[in-house]
Amino acid sequence: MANEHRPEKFARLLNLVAALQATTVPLTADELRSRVPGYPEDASTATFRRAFERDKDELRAIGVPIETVSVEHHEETSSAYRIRRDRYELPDPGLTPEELAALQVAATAVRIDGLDEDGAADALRKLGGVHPADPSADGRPAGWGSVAVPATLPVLFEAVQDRRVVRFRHGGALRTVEPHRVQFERGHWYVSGHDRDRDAPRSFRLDRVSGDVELGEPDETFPAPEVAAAVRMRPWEFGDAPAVEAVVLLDPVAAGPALADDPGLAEDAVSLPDGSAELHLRVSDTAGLRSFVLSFLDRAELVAPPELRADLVSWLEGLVEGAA
Amino acid sequence: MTATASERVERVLAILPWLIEHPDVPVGEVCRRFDVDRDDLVRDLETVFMEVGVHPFTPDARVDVVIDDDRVSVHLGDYFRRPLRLTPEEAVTLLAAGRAALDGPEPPPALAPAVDKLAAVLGAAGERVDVRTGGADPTVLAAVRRAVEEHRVLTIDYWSFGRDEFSRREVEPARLELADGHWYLRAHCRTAGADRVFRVDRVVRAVVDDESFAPVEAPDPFDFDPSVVDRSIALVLGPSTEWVAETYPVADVVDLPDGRRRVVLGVTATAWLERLLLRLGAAGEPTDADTGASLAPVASRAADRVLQRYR
Repeated sequence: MANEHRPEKFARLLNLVAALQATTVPLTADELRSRVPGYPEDASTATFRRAFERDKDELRAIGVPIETVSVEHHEETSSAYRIRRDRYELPDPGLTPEELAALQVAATAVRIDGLDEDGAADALRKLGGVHPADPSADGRPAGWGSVAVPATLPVLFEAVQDRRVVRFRHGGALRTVEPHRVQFERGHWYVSGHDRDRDAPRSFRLDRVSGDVELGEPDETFPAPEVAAAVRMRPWEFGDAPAVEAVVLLDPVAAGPALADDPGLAEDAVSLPDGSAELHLRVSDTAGLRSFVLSFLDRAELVAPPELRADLVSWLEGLVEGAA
Repeated sequence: MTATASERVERVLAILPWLIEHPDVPVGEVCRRFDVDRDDLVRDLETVFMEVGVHPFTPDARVDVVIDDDRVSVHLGDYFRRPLRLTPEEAVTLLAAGRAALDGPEPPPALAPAVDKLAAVLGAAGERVDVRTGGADPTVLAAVRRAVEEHRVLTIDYWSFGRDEFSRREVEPARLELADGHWYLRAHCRTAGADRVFRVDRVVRAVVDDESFAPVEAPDPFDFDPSVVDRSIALVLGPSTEWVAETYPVADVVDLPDGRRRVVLGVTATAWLERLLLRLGAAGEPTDADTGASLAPVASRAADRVLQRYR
């Protein structure tokens, strides 16, 4: 390059952001060229366009929300650009220094595997930088471990945030889903929402999604769900039958881990003096209930109602006879 | 490695809003807080001062940076005032780490309100990213953590789910680890005389003993392998039993003419096999994958044992 004193690209990118933030009307590429220093003055239009497109892509890649709009100019339609303040700015969460430090400790303690490893540090910087104190100063080890995250999670997060429809392949079929919630439960990630093809609520395990999750068009949105239902982890609630109450007795060994695994169960559980627990379950799927009870072998007993108890007994008797 | 132009842009767009809120701070504090070298910071701020602003670049339309006596102040117009929104990737990473740590041992008290405030600025999605790790009893987790950090002997009442055995053990804890959504204690088990891995949510009770122990050299990286297979079984899965293939790793899948599938899976312990057979019921036609022998007698004995509770 002939010009040794070209202003730095760093400054040009910042000036581009400032120009797009400060303007009240969208600016075309030509308007930006005249307002943003740093594009070679003697460059051809094509050369300028290439540099401009590259700059735009790089800024978008770091999260600068540059929007493209169509404008009429001398009866010709051309593209113009702007940055909407509400799409750019992070609202102030009002974190105290202790809260910011606590987030830093969490990000140090729990590694998120599968995404950009600088993600947490970049986020903390935007929230006001990291606490200057050493996070291990209070004796916390450098790391507790990790949570593995599928590459599809950020796009699903974006879809939940902006209420955009997503499409993905799951179980050999193409699904069109209004995603309401993402969850990490028992080592797996799930997305739950409204399955448009089945017109019913559904949950999908993300490690069973093959290929990418495709985000629908920006205008392909859905109204805010009244209830953002969670994935159903209780097999006895999988059915659509009217719920009946069942009582399951867990012995002292199984009771603690079972209630810790699903803290919601504790609300309707009765703890007995010997450490065992009586669960009161709303059952809509009797096969699911049977499976749950039998997973504890002889540490669990289906106490009531009598019909379900009798069903379980005959199921077991069938197995005893099966070997005969 | 030197930062690229866009990495420097990303960094300075986070630093400028903070400098506006915190006028006249020592340069060194900015460097520590934002993890940036002094030379890089000063160079970037000087470039911003010299070259950045908005058209027509009159003095009032420029960013004013004053570095005086090793302290820095910034004044600027109506842009760069707030940091950029978190990208979906950044948001998910920090939120997931925060929520996972809340289930960990003794999370700092400020963490729960911090995660709530973070979620609140992320819109609807902030409230709709749930992360649950382990479901371990907080008092047990706290005891395990203390024993690990203080090299103290720990007595645990442990339910081995796979073998359905309940036992009291004396262990020398080496590490507490989060993996696959569960908290694990890696320890030398004095009772078994060997290294063992325990799932903390199945530790029913943990007592930190007064006795301390000399830790052996740094524990190995976590390499828990749940698949210590001691036999392989074959099952035939139809529509009502397809959940087995969705829940457990299966191998040697063969499609049968009637539409069902024959699969092979590894079994780690007898109790685990009994559970599977009882849940499958008469379906599944379970056999030993090596000998071809029917596993119906195993199911029958287990069913008979469970039936004792109902007689």
